[in-house]
Amino acid sequence: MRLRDRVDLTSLVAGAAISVFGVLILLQEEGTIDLEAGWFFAVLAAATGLVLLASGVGARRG
Amino acid sequence: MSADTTLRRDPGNAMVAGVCAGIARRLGVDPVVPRVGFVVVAIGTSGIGILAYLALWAVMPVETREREPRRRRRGSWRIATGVGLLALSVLLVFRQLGVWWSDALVWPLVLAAFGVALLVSLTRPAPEDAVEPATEEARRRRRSREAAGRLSLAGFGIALVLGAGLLFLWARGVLDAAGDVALAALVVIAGLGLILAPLWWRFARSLAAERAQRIRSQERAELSAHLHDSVLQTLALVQRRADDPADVAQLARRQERELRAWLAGAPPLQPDERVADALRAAAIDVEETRGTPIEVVVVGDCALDERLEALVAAAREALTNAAKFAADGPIRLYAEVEKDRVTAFVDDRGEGFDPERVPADRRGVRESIIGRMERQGGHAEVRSHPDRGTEVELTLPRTR
Repeated sequence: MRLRDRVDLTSLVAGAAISVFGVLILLQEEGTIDLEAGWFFAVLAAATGLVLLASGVGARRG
Repeated sequence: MSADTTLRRDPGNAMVAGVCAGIARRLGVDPVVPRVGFVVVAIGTSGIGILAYLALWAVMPVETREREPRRRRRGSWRIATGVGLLALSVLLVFRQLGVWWSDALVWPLVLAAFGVALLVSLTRPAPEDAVEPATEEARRRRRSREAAGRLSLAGFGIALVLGAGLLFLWARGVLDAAGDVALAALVVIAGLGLILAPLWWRFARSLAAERAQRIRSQERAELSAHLHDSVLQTLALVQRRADDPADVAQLARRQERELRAWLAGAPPLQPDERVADALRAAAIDVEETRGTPIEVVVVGDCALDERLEALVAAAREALTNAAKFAADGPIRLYAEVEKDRVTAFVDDRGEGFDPERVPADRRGVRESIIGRMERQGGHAEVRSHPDRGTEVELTLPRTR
């Protein structure tokens, strides 16, 4: 069985998105970056969009 | 052999160069989804999206394969929403970077672009289902559901465009002066609504009651006419042929079948066009010729073609054999039409036989069932044991 058959694409993308959020919030708390609301919503929209895209593509693969 | 996954332009469905049509084809979504994404990004980024389009035009090869008919596919809405959110994210990034006209212009344009995209997508014919509903009632329900869905989407698209216009006017301060007039009109309309509501409610209820009464009368008249034309006529025939039990049983069976079809709201059979109807017609034919009742269950349906005609003929042969050798026991035909194949089972509880001992000159099973299915790229399997009945399984892929 190939690796791509065993990996759930939606879970993978959602996990990556949550990790990115975690890192951003950590850096914000540390004062390394200043995450403005505009950037926050841009990242949120991109993460949600990627998860939905992965979920749709995953549904097609069955 | 692995499928070709190269992203290609689709000039056959292009509005400019087929870049968006190619992306849509690759993602399996309506072309309007990537188109609106490009438009939104081009608007929000003061034209950088156009450069991206030109770059893709230059690097994407042209699609040469023939276009398949649009089919309803799983996940389309999730993919479309995902593309929309990614476009929104790109806009927000460019806004943060300062590559931006103004909120008062871009957001109304974005809303209007989504609304127009939704309305344009509704002008195309609805995608087809891979498996069509089996009954006319189910097809009618699906059509009605689709019409309601398209109406809702059209309403949403119109609301988006109107909302974009209002947002633009509000951002420009044009609505401030009209606000008082609109508020006064709203109060008058609300007052009139409160006054007229009880009258309207009573009128609507009386109309609904009258309509229900009319429908009940029509249904009763239809039921009486149907009972007279079918059941009463059959009962008269049964009385006349009471001395022939086989004839009476056949009459009763035919009437039962007709009554069941009528109660289920099934349309007249189309054995030359639909595979489910062709199988049912074959079972009825064998049943009337041999006088043995056959139970038929068909799940799903599709158009009948030359290959499926072979499957129907093989099923008919299996039914005929079952009726010959299991005249007393129940005979069942179960068929399932799936997206990629059609499967039929003919099952009886007759005397059965040993398939290894069938003489070579008996060609019914070998040629009319197994050979016929194999010539069409399908497969037939006969499972039988003496005294334990016979099961014939027929499988035919929808495409070779």
